[in-house]
Amino acid sequence: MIANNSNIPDDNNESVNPDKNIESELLNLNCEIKIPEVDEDLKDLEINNESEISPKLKIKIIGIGNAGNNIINQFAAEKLDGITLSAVNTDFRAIENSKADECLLIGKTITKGLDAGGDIEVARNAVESDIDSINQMVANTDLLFLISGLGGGTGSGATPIIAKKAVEHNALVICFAIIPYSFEGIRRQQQARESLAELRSNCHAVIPIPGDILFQQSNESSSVTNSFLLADNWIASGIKAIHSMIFKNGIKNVEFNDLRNIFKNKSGKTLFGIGQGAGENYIKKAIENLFLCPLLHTTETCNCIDRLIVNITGGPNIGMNEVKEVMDAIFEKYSKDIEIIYGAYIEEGMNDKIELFIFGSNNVEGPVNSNKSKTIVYNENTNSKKIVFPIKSKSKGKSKRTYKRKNKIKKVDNQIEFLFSESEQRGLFEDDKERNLYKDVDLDVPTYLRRSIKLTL
Amino acid sequence: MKNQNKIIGALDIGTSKIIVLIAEISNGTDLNILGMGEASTHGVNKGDIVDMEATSNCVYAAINTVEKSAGTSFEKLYMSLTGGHIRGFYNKGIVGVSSPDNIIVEEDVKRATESARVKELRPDRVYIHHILNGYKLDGKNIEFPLGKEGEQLEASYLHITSDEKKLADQIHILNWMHYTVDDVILSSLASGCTLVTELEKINGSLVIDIGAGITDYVLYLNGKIAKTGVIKVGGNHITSDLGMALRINTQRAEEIKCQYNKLADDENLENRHLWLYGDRSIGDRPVQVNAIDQIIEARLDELFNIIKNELGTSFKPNETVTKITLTGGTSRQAGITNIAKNVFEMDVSLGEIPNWVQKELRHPEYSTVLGILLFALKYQKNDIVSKKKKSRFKILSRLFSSSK
Repeated sequence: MIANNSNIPDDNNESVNPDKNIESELLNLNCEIKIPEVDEDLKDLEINNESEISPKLKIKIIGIGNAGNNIINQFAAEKLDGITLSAVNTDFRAIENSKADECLLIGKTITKGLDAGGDIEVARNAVESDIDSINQMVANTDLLFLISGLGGGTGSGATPIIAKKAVEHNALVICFAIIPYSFEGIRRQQQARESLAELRSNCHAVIPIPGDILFQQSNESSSVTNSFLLADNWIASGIKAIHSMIFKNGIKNVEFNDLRNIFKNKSGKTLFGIGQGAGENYIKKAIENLFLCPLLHTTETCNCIDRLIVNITGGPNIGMNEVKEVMDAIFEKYSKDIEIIYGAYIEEGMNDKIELFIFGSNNVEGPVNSNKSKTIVYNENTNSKKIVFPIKSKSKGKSKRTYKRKNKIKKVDNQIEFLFSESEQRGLFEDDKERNLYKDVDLDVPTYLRRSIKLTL
Repeated sequence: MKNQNKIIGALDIGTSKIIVLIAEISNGTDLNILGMGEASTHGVNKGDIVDMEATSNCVYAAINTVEKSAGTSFEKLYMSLTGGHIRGFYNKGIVGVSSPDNIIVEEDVKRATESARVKELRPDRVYIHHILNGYKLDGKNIEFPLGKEGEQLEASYLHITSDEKKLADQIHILNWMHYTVDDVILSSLASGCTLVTELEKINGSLVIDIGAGITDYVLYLNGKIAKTGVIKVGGNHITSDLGMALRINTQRAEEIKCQYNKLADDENLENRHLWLYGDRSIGDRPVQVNAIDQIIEARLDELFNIIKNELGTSFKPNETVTKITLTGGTSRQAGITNIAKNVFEMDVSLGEIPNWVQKELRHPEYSTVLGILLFALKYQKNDIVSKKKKSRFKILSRLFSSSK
């Protein structure tokens, strides 16, 4: 037996069990795990928990690839208790600078500590070569957040595999995927789309964050970092909202099982939105802000939802009336048929301020054959006092009303409309497989449309 | 051999029509057109054959008609080739003059020509034409190098290449019917042959052949072919644009296009209208002719601008180019010369087919197929063909230029 990793605090040595030895052996063999002293208590907790079933949930955030690692570094400053931050990368430099609690350098034998160079295959091989460490990392986790930027190498290649492993270990896997800007070229977009499809078949929920939206949100003068910060903020608020739902005691709690229930299907598309309001009429402002959240209006968002979590965080003056107002607006926007679970929390210093967060899924299966036979059994041991009143949706699926609404939303969304009409604009040549391109302009589309000539017919 | 009469056929597979001509070449110089066959095309999209079976049937129908009407069948068949897959590139062959007194002999010219033409193509491409673009002797342009004195001879060629598979498709269709294709000619060059005289070529001339599916153009500078190309826009695009703007089906859009052409003959278009369906059924309503005008003008204006753009700096109105000729079925479109005139900033005329052609064939859509005949005639005359095979489809590579 190989001796324990010296980084593990001494006081745990007395409770050595065979499992742990194997664990540390693996650590030594395959990965470099550095555990900063700061998180001793956390580590302590985790190791103790192995013997007995813990009342406490284990939440982990893994940032994969450079984009993921950067966001993890942002999180390190936030200090959310009960969450372990991990970083996975093929690039040694990024790992070295990482502020995560645990770091894993994958594919040392393949990339020699350099990045994957945008090659998905390299990234996949890298993960496969260190698959034991990955198993180690995702084992004994209840809720796992994956953060990665798609379109490159490591993020696109490694994330789906890690997600798959985590699901095999019974974790609830929620993935935030940043889609590259369209100006980064078609190849990257294509690569990102492929990985997204793969992720959808592996994760319980995938929240794509298109770079183009970040671009639209930031004004012309704002710097690149600002626009990236926006992505970080969205992810951070999402994770924080889920975190406070599960850990904080509020007026109305959401349990982890409810979250599990929402994402019981490995759904194709998810809905994810954040809204804030402050000052006068802050409830109304927050609702408006929520419905205008750009993440609700991407092509990747599902607008026909069947199940929804609503989380309300407000000041001490928030009452049932305010909660009702929010809920009414959400029922109005989506269908009354959907299954809604809501939570309301009070946070100090949120006077005349409110934060809304919605997170939903539908019954439509993911795009690829997700192995549905594998149902997740969660050990229901938490002393939950359930006061949820889920309004069960009829198994018929979506009602006509939701369809109508879907169309309405489509109209608002310029992106969908544009894509939709592009193929219809080709008239006689609609069936042609190849587009008749000349200097990136499709000549089959009528000239008067492209030159936007106003006709009086 | 010279006194022998030869019956030759010319075939042009267009996007909307297949035209076959049968002609007799007597004494090696006189051309006599014996018959013409036409069939509407199926299975061709923008000049490319997409359904061989359907196209084959149409070709068969057209050839059958022509052979019956002429009462004879042809010995040699020439066909046109076009489509977006045609590419052209320049290549030079430079040789040092071999003789000690620096006088150029035939051998030197041959070597320069050879070395200009040896460039290997990708396996999926084949040569269609090698067009001599002039000689240079010690850096100076010269017309006839033989007998001149100098040290270094340069032969410059414009090579036209085609996708092997697309070319093979066309030839296969004829092979199925047990005809052998003797040669293929680029459509744009064939049209140019019909419409432009040698003098006009020397003065600079641009020929634009707008068909149903695609547009071919060829630019002659100093008597040589300087540039040729294909734009995948044609008359069908006008129909499609009208159909989409007015929300009518293709057939009705085609009718409206023709009605507009008739209307446009009386000059005053202000406040005129056309009936949308023309049958007074429910929903039928008058449409402003102005709107139709705008749609067609936008499309043609764009097409001419693309051609102008492709020609680049070699095109200078009234300087390098003194004549612009429009031909092809779509050149019948009303007002097209004016639109072209505005874009090219010089006079534009419709192509006139020479008088020796029967009256019923003097229409713009026949300029390509007539050109194939002329081309074949010239080919018979210049019996200086180097019979070097470039592909397995009996496509003979040869010099195509007036100068030897």
